[in-house]
Amino acid sequence: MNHMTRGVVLALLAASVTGCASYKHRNQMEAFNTSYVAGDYAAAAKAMAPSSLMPGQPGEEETVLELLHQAEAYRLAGEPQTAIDLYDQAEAGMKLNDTDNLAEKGAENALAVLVNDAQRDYQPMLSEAVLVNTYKGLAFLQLGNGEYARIEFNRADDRTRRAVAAFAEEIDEQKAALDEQASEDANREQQAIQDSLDSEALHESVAQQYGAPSQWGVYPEFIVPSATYLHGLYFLASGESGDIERAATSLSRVAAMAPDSAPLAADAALANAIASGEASREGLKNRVWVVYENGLGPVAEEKRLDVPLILFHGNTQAPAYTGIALPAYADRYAVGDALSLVDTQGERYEPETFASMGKVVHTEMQSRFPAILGRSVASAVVKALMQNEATERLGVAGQLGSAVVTAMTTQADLRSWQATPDHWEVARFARPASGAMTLETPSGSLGDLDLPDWPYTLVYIKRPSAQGPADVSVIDLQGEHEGTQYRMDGTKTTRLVADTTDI
Amino acid sequence: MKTLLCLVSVLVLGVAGCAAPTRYVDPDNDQGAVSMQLDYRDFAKASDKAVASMLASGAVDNPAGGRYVLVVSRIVNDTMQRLDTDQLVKKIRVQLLRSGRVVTTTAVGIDGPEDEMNQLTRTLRDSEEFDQRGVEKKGTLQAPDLSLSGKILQRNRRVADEQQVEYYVQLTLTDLSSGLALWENETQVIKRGSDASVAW
Repeated sequence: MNHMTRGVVLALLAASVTGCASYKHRNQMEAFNTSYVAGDYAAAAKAMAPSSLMPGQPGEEETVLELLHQAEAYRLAGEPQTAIDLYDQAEAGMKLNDTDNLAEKGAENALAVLVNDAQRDYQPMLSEAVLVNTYKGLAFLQLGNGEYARIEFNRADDRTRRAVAAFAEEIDEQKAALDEQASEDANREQQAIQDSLDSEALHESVAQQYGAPSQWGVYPEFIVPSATYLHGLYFLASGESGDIERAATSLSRVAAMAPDSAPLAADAALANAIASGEASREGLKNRVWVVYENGLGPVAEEKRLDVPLILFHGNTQAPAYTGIALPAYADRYAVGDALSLVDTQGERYEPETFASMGKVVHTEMQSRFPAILGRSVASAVVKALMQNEATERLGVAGQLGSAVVTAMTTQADLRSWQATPDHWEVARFARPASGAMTLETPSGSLGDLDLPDWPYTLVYIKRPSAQGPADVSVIDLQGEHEGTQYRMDGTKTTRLVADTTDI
Repeated sequence: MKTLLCLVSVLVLGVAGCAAPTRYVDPDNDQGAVSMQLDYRDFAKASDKAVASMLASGAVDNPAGGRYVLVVSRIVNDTMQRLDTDQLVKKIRVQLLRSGRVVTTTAVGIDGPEDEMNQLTRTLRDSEEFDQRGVEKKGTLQAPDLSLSGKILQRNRRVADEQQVEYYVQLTLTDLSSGLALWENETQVIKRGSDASVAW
């Protein structure tokens, strides 16, 4: 079997597997989203039960995406310990993927070029990885385990630090894969990929059809503001020596990303005042912070575009327009009904927006885009050359067969963690004397909650859609007491008991 | 069927042959692979250094003679890995006890007494079921003189193409009568390795 025929056979095989995998993924995500939006988190978790097209149990590294969805569904269902266990498994899978040996990485990259990016094991966006540790931190606080919450907030902070280097590594890895291919074949394929990627026409074409990443609304640096904010609040509340300086750094950093936010400015000022000795903790009344995860975060949609590839025809190079598919992130929606908390004296506290998941994703995508485009162009060049060769050797049948393979395998990687919100909102206030509060929307009351008499209380609210309930966790930021979790839908308030819900 | 059984047997034997055999490790001479996380060798080194420094400083030499009573306060795990800080503290306690200069109380602790039996045995007072001559009298528990507290810090950074993980084991011995820190020590454990993934 010669090189070309082997390629076509492999591609045909891959194309059929691709079709099955993407169909399965689409169905699974639809089932998850239907339940998740309605607030049926038990059904959402079941919908994402890991399975494999191959016989046997899939490994953690193959099921990271499913584990992430399940973990967050369990957290919202009032099972923080189960959520932590699943998040731990997801982290273990992420680590296995990171530490694949060179041969495994090379094979994955080669498959991505021959077929598409979706053939690689799912590697969460860095922003998603930061949120994994943040949600785990919240789950530990919910269980009253401040010691382990600290570890997760430390991890979230370290993942943020690693992000910049990771973007550069992804580009280096892709270059290395291309170089390796070049050294093996030293053929025109590599030359065509390099020439195409260097061509101004290609980048102009991408900018016209896809949009220029430089025009996206992004943060000045990689940050997941909600994660950095919660990191800051945890260390503000901890009271251990040296923690207040870290709180001041995180809260100042997140305040700089949302300069119009009065609550963030006040938190940064408070942490800095305590750190410098101008204010003391003893002088503070019991404080309450409300963080509200509103709506559904962005999802990747496929954008197909025709780009000029620089291919060899005989001994001359000429541009040939070929289709590539890239992921483009589109916003879903926020819950329109504004939430507010009202105390028994009628005082109303209204959270205001401070961070957008879409902006976080675009900030990350802007850095990763060269690597994604590179793999996509490499894939298109390989397929175009295969098509040319098939046509030359097998005539019309070859042309048709390879065209079908190309059409079936030219797909963008649309996988993403769909349990993230559209945006985050924040409010802060002194704990009302009675501690009794009502969660309201303009349409009416959603339910009542009690704020315990703790010095630092976090009310963490998540509401993916207006059709579903609001999940409200009342958390001791010092991690000394177990939290309370409520589900409120306006008709009844259910108090969830940790890890006894039967899913 | 026989062929199938043979094939399965060969496969099973092959897999079993590839698995690493279980063996004992000499903790004093363990040349096994080093991970980026803290392991028992790091705790052993940190506790040896800390105790040597504490004894050499004279901070636990009681001028009145006799042994000081030590209480273990909070050791904050400020790393990125789930550690049992008792792994470190226990080694320190054992070595201090062997030094003959310090004894540790289990009757009081940050999260309550380490050994609840200290209080439980005192509930036997006035019980007709127990010979009261053997029941602990009031005022026999000894209050601690010294408190040991600390923190294990972790800082990660990229050095060239590698990841450097720095652990700092910081310990403080406080004189509970004056509130003054009599002795302080920091042991560093620095590891450098692959930056392909996170260090936990």
